[in-house]
Formats: sequence, C-alpha cells, structure tokens
Amino acid sequence: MGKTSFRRLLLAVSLIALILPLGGCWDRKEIENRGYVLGVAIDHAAPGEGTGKKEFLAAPQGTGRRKYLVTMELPKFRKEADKEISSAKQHLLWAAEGESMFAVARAINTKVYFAMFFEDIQTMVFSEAVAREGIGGLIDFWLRDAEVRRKVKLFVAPGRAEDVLKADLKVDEVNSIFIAKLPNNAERSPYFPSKATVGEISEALRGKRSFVLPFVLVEGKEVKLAKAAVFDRRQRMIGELDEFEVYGAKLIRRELKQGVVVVANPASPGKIAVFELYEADINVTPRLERGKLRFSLEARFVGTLGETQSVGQDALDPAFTTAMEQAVAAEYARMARKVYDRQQALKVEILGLGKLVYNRYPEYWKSIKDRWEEEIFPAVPIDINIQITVRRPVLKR
Amino acid sequence: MGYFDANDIRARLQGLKKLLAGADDVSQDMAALARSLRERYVESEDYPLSAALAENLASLREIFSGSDDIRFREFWAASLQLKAAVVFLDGMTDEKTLNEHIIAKLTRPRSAGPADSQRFGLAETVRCTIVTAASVQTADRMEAVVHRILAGDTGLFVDTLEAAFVVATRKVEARAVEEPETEAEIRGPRDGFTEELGVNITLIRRRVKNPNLVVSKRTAGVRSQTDIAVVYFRGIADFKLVGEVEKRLRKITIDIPAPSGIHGLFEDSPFSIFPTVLNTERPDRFVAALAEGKVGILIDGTPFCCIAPTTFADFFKSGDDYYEKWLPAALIRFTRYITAFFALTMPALYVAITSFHPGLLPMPLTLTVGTSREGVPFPTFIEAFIMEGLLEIMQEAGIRLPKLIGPAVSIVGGLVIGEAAVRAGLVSPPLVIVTSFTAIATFSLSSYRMGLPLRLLRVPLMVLAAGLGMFGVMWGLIAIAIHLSILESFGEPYLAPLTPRSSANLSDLKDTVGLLPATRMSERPAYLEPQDAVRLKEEENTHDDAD
Repeated sequence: MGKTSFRRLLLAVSLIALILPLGGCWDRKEIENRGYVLGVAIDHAAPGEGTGKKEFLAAPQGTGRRKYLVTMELPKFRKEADKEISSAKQHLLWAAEGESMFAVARAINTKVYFAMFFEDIQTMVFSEAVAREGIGGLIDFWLRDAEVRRKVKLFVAPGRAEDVLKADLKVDEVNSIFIAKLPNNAERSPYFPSKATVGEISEALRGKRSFVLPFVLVEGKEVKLAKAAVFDRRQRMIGELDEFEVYGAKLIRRELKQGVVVVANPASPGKIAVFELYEADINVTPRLERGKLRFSLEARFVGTLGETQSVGQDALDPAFTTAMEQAVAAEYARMARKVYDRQQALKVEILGLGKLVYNRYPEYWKSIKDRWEEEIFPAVPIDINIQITVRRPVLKR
Repeated sequence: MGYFDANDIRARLQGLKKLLAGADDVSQDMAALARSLRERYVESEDYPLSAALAENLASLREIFSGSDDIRFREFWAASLQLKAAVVFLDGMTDEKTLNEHIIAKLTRPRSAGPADSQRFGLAETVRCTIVTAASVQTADRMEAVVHRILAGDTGLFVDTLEAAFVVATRKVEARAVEEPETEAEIRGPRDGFTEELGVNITLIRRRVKNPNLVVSKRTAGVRSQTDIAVVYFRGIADFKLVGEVEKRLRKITIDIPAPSGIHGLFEDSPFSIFPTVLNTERPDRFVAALAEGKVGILIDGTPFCCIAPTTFADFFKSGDDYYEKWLPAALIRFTRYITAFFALTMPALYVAITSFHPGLLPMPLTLTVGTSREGVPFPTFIEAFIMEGLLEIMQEAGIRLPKLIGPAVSIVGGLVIGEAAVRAGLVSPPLVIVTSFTAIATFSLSSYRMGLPLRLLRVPLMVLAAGLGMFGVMWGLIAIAIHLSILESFGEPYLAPLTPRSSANLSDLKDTVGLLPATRMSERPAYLEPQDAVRLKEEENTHDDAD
C-alpha cells in the first residue's frame, strides 16, 4: 500500500463522514417517542357538529364536513414498577373529527408530541352506521398510507365504534391488541368470519366482490366476536348473518375444519347429544345443464360423540349412532341451507360460489359475471348431501 | 547587625548545592562519554580467522567487550601438544558436553602420538579423533563463529590452525510444551508451540515423518539475528508461493523485530484492519495448513507461527471442526459466521431499528423496547456508544489485570454496569442485552485476531446507523464487503474459497462455510494451486504408489 492508496482511503472515510451531517439523522425518532396507533375506531361525528365545546375535536379542513369521529388507541409507556402501583388502563385514546382520514390523523398530531405511527395498527372498527353508508371510501387512506400493514383486522361494532376502544376490559392488555387476537379461535368456534384484514378487503374491493366482516360486541368488561356484517360490491353493509349462518357459510366456503353441533339425543328424550367435528371433506360442484346452473354440495364429516349427558347410555348401539348421524347431518344441512337462502334473499354471494363457476365454466361465467349476484345467483338451486360418521363413541377415561 | 546575614548564607548554601548537583551531572556525562569511547559499537566484520590463537582471542575479546557472560578458557591440549581455547556463553551451553567431550579429550595425552595428525592433518584429527561431541563443524570466518557462539554453541580454537571448530553445545532453558491458551479446543491435541524454535520444529517433525517436509532456516533482523524457519511440503506447496514467502522474508530489514509481530513486516495491505496472516500456536493446525499446500513460518521467540496465505474463511475454522462428525461441525462453523455478523452489526442494527425503523420489530417487541426506553435520558446511539465503550474497557481490563484480581472486573462490571445502571434508569435493559450478546458473540469467534477488526468496525457502523438508519448500516456493510474483496494474502484473494475464481474452484466451498465428511474432501483447495491436488487417493491407486 503506497501513499496514493492511503490518500484514497482517507478520501473514502471523509466522504462517509461528510454524508452523515448531510443526511442529518432525518428520520431519526427514538422508539419511545412515536405514537404507536394500535387501533382505530371510525364513527359518525356526534350530532350537533361544529358547535360549542366540541370544537376542540374538529380537524382543520378547507373543504369537507365534520362527518366522522376517528378515535385512535395508543399504548401508554410506563415503567414496570409503576404498573404494580396503579391498575389503570394501559392505553391512551386520541380523537378528532373531520371527513378526511388523513386530515384527522394530522389533527391528532397537534395534540401530542409523538407523531402517529401506523405500522403497528392491529384493529380497525367501523360503527354499523358508518358501515351501512359504505366503507370503500373510508378505507382508501388506510390502503394508500405506506405505513399501514395488510394484516390489520377489520370489525364492525353494532353501536358506537369508539366504545369498543373505550371499554375497560378485564384483561391487562390494550383493547386493540386483545381484540385482534380474538380471531385465533375462529377454527374451534366458527361463529364469526375469520378472514377480514385490510389486505383481503382491498382484494375484494378491486375484484368488486362482496365480503363479510365480524361483529365485535361490548358488554361490560368483555368483548366478543359473533355474527357477520354482509357487505355488497359497493362496500356497503346490507345485512347481517347470525352465528348459525356464519357456521353454514363456512361449510359452503369449504373452510369448516372443526366445530361442535348440538342435537337432541335420539336415544334419551330431553337430553342432548354433541357431535365434535375433526375431519371434514367438502365438495361443492356447479353443474350447468341446458343453460341452468345448479350447485351440489357433498360433504363427509368425521367426528366423535363429544357429550351426551345421558348417564348409562349404550353409545355403541348402532341404532343410536345412525340416528345421531342423521340428526347431525340434518343440522348441518339446515345451517347451510339457511345461509344459502339468506344470501339469495340479500342478493349477495359471499360463499365463493362464483369462483367455482368461473373455474368450471369460464365462458359461461363471462356472460353472466355482471349479473351474477343480482340476477343469476338468487335463482340457482343447491343440493345438499351431508354424511356424518361418528367414531369412538365410547372412548372415555 | 551581626556577622552573619541569614539570607546571605541561605543564598550561598543554595548556590553551593546547585554547584554540587551540576558537578554530578557533569561527572555522569563524562562517564557516559568515556564509556561510549571505550565500548564502540561492534560491527562484527567478516574476516578470516588468524593462525595465531592469541590474535583470535584478542579479536573475540574486543567483539564481546563489556559482556560478562562470555567465557574464555585457555588450556594446553596435551594430545596435540598445542595451546587451545574454548569460547562459550555462560548459561546457554551444556557444560557437561564441554567438559567431557572437548576439554577432557584435548587435555589428555594421546598414546597414538602424532601419527594421526600426519595422516589426516591437524583439523581433521581434532574433529574426527579427539572431540567426541555429536556435531562439530569447522568455520574459518569470524562472523560465523561469533554468531554460533551467541546461539549457545562452543567455539574451539587451536593454535596454528586458521579455523575454529564450532561444537553444538546449545542447551537453553525452554518452557515445557503446554496446552495452547489462546486456542482452546475440545478434542484437539494438547501440545502447543513454545518460544523455542527447535522445540517447535520437533513438534512438527514428530507429526510428519516425511523427507519432503522442508524446514529451511534463515534469520531476520539485522541486529537480533532472529531465527526463522520456513516450512512447507515439497511436492504439494506451489513453488511460486514458496518463492514469494522467501522473497518477503529476505526483505525484512528491521534491526530487531518483535517475534510475535513479525508478520506485520511481510503481510499484505498493512493499512487494512483485517489480518491477512493467520497465527496459530497449535502444531496440528500448522501441519493441516501445510497439508493443504500452504507455507508455514516459525519464528524463534514466539509460540505463534504464521501461515501464508490466509483467507477470510480460515479465521472461522477450528481444529475441532475436523475431529467431529461433519454435520454438527458444519453447523457450528456456520454459527461462527452468524455470530461474527452479529458481533459486527448488533449494536448498529439496534440503533437503526429503534431510532429509525421500529416497524421492523414485531408489535409486542416494539412496545416492550419502548416501555423500557421510557425515561432513559440519552438517545439510543449515545446510550449504545457508552455501553460499547464500557465493554471495551472491561475487556481490556480483563486482559491486563493480574489473574488474582480478575474476578473484580466481572463483579464491578456485571453488578455496577449491568444492574445499577439499569436500575438508575441510565441505560435501558434491552441495550444491556444487546451489548452482552455482542460481547459473547465476539468471544465465541475461534480467532482473537479476527475479533479485533469486528470490534473496531462496530463503532463506525453504529455512527452510520445513527445518521442514516438501516441505509447507513447497509452502506457500511457494503463498504466492508468491497474492502474484503480487494484484499489479498500472498497473491490469493482474501475471500478466495467464498468467491471462486472459476467453476473449477467451486469444490473449495466444501470446506468453507460448511463442511463435508473427511472422505468427501479428497482434494486440496484449488485456489492454492497445489502441485498435487489429490489428497485422498482411490483404493486401487494406493497400491501403485511407491511411498
């Protein structure tokens, strides 16, 4: 190494040193000085907008109404030692009103020194009123913003969405984090839709498909997920499905993997018998015969006798098993039929059947694509054939 | 008014004192001058020995003037009927050999008489019939004799002879062969090199009984005449490489090189912070390197030998890799690369992620780190910088401290810095974890020398991270990668097996980041261009082989 290469090294080092002040730590923000938004609730602004003491909430907008109230939930950073002293809630809520989501987010920044940071959003709740008006336009900001992730989970609240975030839950967790984890049990308890993230809704939006979102209900210090809000192709909520309909919908969508069904005990009247599903094989086939479309659903479910409550019953009795299998099959068929009829009545189709038609009859699908939900689907019949096998009916300890 | 003015007396006394002190200085200077005149520097010029014994001894006395450990013993050699003298260094010479095989033999009158000397000549008579030591050589030039005497051999001078005999009587107190302390291995052999070149050569010769193992000795250092041995396998090592090593050793013109740091005098890229010569004190590793086709350099005075050329991957190898089953060994070696990466980047990544990109962390971790940072007065970079400084100080203290008070460092370091700083809220706990992990990761590298550049580069990377975030870290890493790919070691690219020159060299990769079973590594590394590339011959071929 000669003098020139040493000079070259010096030059390189000083160039690196130069770029540091040029960059000037432009994006540096210590981890504790960011406002980690964990949950967002979107409501209609309370009546009496623009008057009196509520002026504090208004977001400055050149154009647009004070239409929405957006509440953001942030974690409260506290030292481990302080946590033991006070049992107060570990979250902070900040809100602002306006029509533009972006303007609202910036308006909140005027109240805090930590800028809102969206990369960790877990939950987004729409009030039912907002949902019925349509969420397509509202979600645009959250799809455009570079920080928001695809996996943000969306919910609908029957009342005010802010109440979900305000609720004083008995768990020692931030509301949004807790609610975002609730769908983990969707397979075991298939009473609410499991797939409802920003990414998936964005796909439905672009594919002009209808979709469902789970309801989140608040009662005292608890929340629960149940039922589904049905959105049509214009992202407007047009109806809801109850728990059995969601169960049935999962069956037709071939998403059902587990779950229990309670039927009347065929052997001892007044008692119940419970079937626990653990192996499901579901096939839905569209058939096009002479221009007429027809679906047939063939399902084979294998499960166990989960519970009978009838002491001393001979569960090995073939008559009992057969009768129980038939009762369970009828119950499954009822749930599937119910949701199918309901979809036809609502003139939306969230069961993934259109995709099946497209796969099997692409040419036919092209001709009916635009009329599918409103005209074609409500008139398509479905044959439901479910076979149940109860295994290990007497396996106990 | 008195006879004596107190102030005046004090002033006079002080003046006298000064004069006395000055006289001391003057006398010291005079002594030094006289000494420098008396003991002029001896350039042991190369001149032929004289036939007169007295003249030779006078020359030697002049050469060794001032040294009291040189011994001159003159005696009457009854067997030759001539005067003779031995010259040797006290303490480096085996006096038993000297007494029994030289002085005793020469002073005893011989029955055979002068017949022998008529038959052989005087020199041959002494060498072949009288002196019974194992190695007796004749030297007729003064410089050679002086050099050998300084190495511990005995110079035997006989009157009327224009030559001297150099009898091998070297016997030096050497440290016993012990387990290498800086390169611990679980299943490796327990012997390590010592400071004595002869012992080290023995350790290698003992392992390889092959005449093609060449040990060629030379000296380095104009004044120190440090012994150096270049060791390689004839028939394996590339001639060009051997030539290059010898050329570089010849170029060492420093007067007294430090044996442990001699590699700095012939290494490539002295300005680079990455070592391009591997030092090891394990003979097994040395022999393994020779078997690959590399050249080893043993230096008298240090247990650390040098291996040339050395590539980046060599610093991540350990003897244990070859003594264990290949898959665990490969995994462990791969882990070393990963730990090296984290030892280098962990604090920088922490700074970049926490102050620039918290979205890269999973949400619960973000909140945990955020919570623990709450109330810490410094930005993450300053915090990390302080901890990094403390870590370096503690490492240095751990090395320099006498072993007896070593535990004090761990107690003070662990308790005060780890525990109290966190409690006081000066440092956040995640950073303590990051710093400790970094330290442990550095320790787990098999080479101390490779750990140093990683330790050094941590700080610039942290600065880049604090200024530019992950962009800066990547910038730094790319700069390091560029630098590594420019480096060379004895003509071989530093990243040699990792970045193969051609597809033919691809097979070198089986002993770099990972490892294959010994039977599958039948070829020597191709980047070294060995003369015999095949290491493990097929079954049929071994019978044909003469050796």
